[in-house]
Amino acid sequence: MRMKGKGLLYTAISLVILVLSMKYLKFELPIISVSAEKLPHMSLLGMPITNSLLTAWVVTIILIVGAYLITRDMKMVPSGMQNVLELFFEYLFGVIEGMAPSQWAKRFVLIPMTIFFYVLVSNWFGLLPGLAGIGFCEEPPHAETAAEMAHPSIVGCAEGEVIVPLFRSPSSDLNNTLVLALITQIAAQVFGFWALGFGGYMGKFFIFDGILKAFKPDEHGNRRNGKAMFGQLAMGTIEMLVGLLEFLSEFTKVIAYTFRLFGNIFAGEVMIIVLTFLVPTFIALPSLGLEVFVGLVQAFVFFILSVAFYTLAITPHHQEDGAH
Amino acid sequence: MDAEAAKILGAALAVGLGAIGPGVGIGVVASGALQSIARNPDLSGQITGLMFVGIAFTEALAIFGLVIGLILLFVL
Repeated sequence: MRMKGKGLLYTAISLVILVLSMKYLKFELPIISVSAEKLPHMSLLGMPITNSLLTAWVVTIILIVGAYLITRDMKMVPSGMQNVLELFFEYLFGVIEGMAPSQWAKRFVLIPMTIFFYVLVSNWFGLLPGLAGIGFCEEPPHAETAAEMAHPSIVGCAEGEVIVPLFRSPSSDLNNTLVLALITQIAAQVFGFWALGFGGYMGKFFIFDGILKAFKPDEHGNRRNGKAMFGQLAMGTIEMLVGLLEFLSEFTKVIAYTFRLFGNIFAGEVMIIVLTFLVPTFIALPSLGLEVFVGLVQAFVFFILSVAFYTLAITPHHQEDGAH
Repeated sequence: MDAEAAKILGAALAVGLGAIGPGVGIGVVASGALQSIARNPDLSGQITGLMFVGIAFTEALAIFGLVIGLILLFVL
């Protein structure tokens, strides 16, 4: 067959499968819930286990076992998985060194690098095909309250029941992303206090120099007259307000980290679920591809924003003394 | 208009209107990055990294709108 004919044939077959699957393959409507679904019959010390928590454990085990296996027989000239790991590590460490002074780069590398690999694997884990179909059958819509009726089923659920998936990407759980954001922000504060001391770091947010300077003699040693004093007071008030805004933004960064990762991953999940429900074959493929890319980008963005904010945290407010 | 219809309408408006600003913003960021890479190809790696940071900030605002829409639809 000519190449052109082959492509046409494949397209025609795919379209036929698509249309037929819409008609004949039936799926239970999945419950799309913002909060991760609790798994029935399982609890740890009396607290319920959600499917995203289970997946987070799986991701952690993957990372630990993977790290052990890859670094077991480290060669000077890497090959295989060690090469891939070194590729990631060198590129990301190069980014950190490009941003931060060298002694700080070594201190910065731990938390953002770990979070990068954890977020990357947890984003990609949620994309594994078929995982949405492994789960417990439960009565809709308040699945948690009917937990005692849940039973695992590999064939299909009874009519009217929905599947609670066993695995769900941890990044689509607000608890997970909130904790990552808190760890990152608290680490930023620790680095700030470490580099600048308590007074220095607090002096970045509570800036009273400008206002106090209005009442002191200016640089020529003359006492300020009314107009100059007012000008200096206005500048000082603006500086103070900017500092307070910076202080507030330290808290909004937590919200931003949380919702950026959660929104991207959860939106991708919902899109794939809804598309697959509508047309069971092939239609979710472009979305899956996009989600692979988005997972990588969001992990990298989390990483690079952490490093950027750490670098900002260790820079003193006034780079040159006596300039203002 | 009953509550259900208002919720759905609110969610749609949140996502739709909330994507206008970040859409323009990301275009501006990417355009600036492309122009500076064209001007100075040596710094392409650094510029690309900073471009991602800029995109992440502006995209976060669109994500905030999406989150409000999701909360309206699935939680309330």
